Amino acid sequence: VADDRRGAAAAVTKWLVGYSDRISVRPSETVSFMTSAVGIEHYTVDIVRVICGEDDPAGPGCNMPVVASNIAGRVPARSQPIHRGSHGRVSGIQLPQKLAEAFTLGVFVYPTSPGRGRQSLIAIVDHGGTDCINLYLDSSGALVASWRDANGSASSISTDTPLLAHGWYLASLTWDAREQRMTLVQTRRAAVNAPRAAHASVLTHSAPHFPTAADVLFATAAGPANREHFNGKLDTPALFGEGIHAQELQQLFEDPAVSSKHGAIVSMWDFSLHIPTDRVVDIAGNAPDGRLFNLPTRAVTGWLWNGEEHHWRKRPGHYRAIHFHDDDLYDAGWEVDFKFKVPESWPSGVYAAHLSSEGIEEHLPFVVRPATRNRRPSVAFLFPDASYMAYANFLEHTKYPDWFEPFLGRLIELSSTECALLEHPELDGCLYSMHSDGSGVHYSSRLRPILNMRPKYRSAVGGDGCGAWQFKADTHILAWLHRIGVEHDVLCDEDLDREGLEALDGYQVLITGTHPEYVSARMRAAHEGFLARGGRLMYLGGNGFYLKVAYDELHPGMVELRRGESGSRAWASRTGEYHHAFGPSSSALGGMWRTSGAAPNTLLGVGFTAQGFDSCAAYERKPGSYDARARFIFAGIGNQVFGDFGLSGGGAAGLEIDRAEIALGTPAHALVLASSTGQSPNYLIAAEEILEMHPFTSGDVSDQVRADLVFYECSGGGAVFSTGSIAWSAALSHNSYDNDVARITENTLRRFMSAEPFKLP
Amino acid sequence: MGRYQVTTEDGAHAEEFMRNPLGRHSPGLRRVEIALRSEPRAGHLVLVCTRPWREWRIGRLPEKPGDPVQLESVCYTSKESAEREVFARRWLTTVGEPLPQ
Repeated sequence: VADDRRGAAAAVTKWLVGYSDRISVRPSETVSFMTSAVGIEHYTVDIVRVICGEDDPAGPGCNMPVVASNIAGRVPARSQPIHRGSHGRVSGIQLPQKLAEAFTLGVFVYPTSPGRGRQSLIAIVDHGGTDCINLYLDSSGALVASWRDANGSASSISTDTPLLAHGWYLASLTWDAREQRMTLVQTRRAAVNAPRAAHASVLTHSAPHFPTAADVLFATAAGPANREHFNGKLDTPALFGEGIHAQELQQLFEDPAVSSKHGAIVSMWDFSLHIPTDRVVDIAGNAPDGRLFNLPTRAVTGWLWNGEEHHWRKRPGHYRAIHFHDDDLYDAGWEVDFKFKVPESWPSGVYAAHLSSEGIEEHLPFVVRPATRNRRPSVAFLFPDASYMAYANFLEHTKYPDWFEPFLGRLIELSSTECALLEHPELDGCLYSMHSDGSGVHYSSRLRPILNMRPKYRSAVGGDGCGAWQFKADTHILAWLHRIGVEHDVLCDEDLDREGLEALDGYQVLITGTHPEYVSARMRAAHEGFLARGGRLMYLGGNGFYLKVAYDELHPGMVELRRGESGSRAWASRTGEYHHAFGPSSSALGGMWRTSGAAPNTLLGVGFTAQGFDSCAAYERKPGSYDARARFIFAGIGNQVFGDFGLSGGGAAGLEIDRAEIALGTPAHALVLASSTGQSPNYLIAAEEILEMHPFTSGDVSDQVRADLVFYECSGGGAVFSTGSIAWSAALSHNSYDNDVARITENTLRRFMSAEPFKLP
Repeated sequence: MGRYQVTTEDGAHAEEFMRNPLGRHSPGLRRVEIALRSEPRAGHLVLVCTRPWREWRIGRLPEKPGDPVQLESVCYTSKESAEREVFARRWLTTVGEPLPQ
């Protein structure tokens, strides 16, 4: 028994994963698929329509008919790597000969994990890829400079004093050929408790050799990808053609606009320029524009930041830094393995490339929008890809099991997919994760395999039961629409962000997913515009419209998140870094929509109030459900209590839940139709609801821990129906779809589909 | 007082758990569960689903990223049985005595 309890490695021997270049295509357009595999030789590909991705034996059953068979023959399987780690590169910079006589290379450095391996700050590299000069932190965290002479012999010098994490240092390397002296200095930015400056100086006959044309690398060393990445911030790297004392250098860094006209300037990169891009610019005008890779974080505080301004556009000089991480990733960049052209005749819907081989399978979902010339049905489902990206490969329950398991109230259950993910940390990282240096992950992309955006995926946070969460939970809505025979189109968050309200032209009813938590400004504006022109919104979820994200046209398939000073947060943005770098109105304040004066209640009638991941509860009808305005919703409902069933935690109300609150913007005329009762003690109230500490925070003692079912009419003839519960969708199929939850939802949908406008009471 | 220390005096709560490992529990058992379920990450016991919806095994989380889950050989056909087994083990480790029969 003792031996068995040590366990045996459950190593994954077969692995087949992939992603598509586009998440949303129209008929006659082509989608490309990239894959990587281990332990198999070939695989075959079918295209399936994803109607229901639930394989719980207690549920309605998977429904994913094959709509195109064997589209690519036997596709050879191959392994494709993922190279994480952000960095910058300036290619083809012309270096003046005078550098051989004297130079100063300087940069402000804010290390976040010094001492964890060698980390390159700046490397000057010849065309053969060899480091000529490299300024780096060694495995102890001390500053080191290495260089090569004309014969290629390497020399180095070290301060032998580790930099401390989370402090600004000026690092400078100075060469004086007359004295044959190389000097390296690290100076902690002035603070009452700052350590003394450390420096090293050597007489050397090994004169550094500069090529006439070189590349300059930031936060990585020359050589293969994934090499010596730096964790931390760099601010205003600069190269001068003379020896400059560290004190004078610091003064030069205070105003780069002036310093860039210094007589000895060679290059100076002001990272506050072009923040919403991958460009880095030499303000001395000597170097061509450089490029950033793998989305390091811009719009972050620099060494001059003093708390007076939190908005990077208003005082860019305080935001001249870039935060690099050794685990940043934007685009896996895999080669294409097969393509698929969507037939002209295909209806809009959720589809997937189904890959199978030797007992393993993979689904790569994509959305087909309607052909532009097609007549549109009146109903559209909004495929919440922003929220899928936010949760991409979510593994936080395995990182913090010491609080996750008590929160779940049961053992953490891992599927084979999660076990495989644990063995592939290169796929880790979503908007709930922290980087290896402890800072929050601000960017998540779908240009990499997202293994929880799959049918049949059972999530640990999906409640005790079927574990439906995000993609799989949303297929319960698609399955229900299919069951009741309502024709509908599907479009994506990123379509709505790109096209705005126009994307909703022709639709009368918009149905959300179960947890559309992450919403861009343009998405939100499109929803408001839709309601204003008479649209009807069915919010069949919980904790929706909670956090702001930004898409960026230069980085398709990516969303940016900043977390502000309030809200339920997996991490907090660092002070002064609350404003987005990207987005159509880049520099917008990030964080909760609520802190931007647009609480979810103002749109949905309800807003996030609590979460718990064990059991789910039933709803009890409230007086609003007997109001004549709501008669159509409750037609045929005889029970006072409903929704005491469902595949997620045994109830329709649960996981993440919302309540009506007029003070937060719920319209005064909104009808609270029903409220959940008896959420478990593991349901805890949202952090932003707590000002002074008090004991009324859990489902067994707080009135605020409840899901409200709400309906209200809009002035333009539209209306909103909100369930305020993620678990609602997994209750739809109960008793073969013959139940009160399905009936209420269908009653609402049928009325919402009618042309008759709603009137304000 | 600090973190709650589970002792033999919590025997009645253990009995309640063994009767009904999953579901709504008394406040006293909930306090015991919070203490026992919050074991550290390294070697944290988890449930690994080895046949979807039908079979589970007890596993341990790996100590560092990239390492596989360590899996025991005993299969459970109900999650409740695995919950009882893990509770009993954690009780023994924490209290220093086997779970009262």
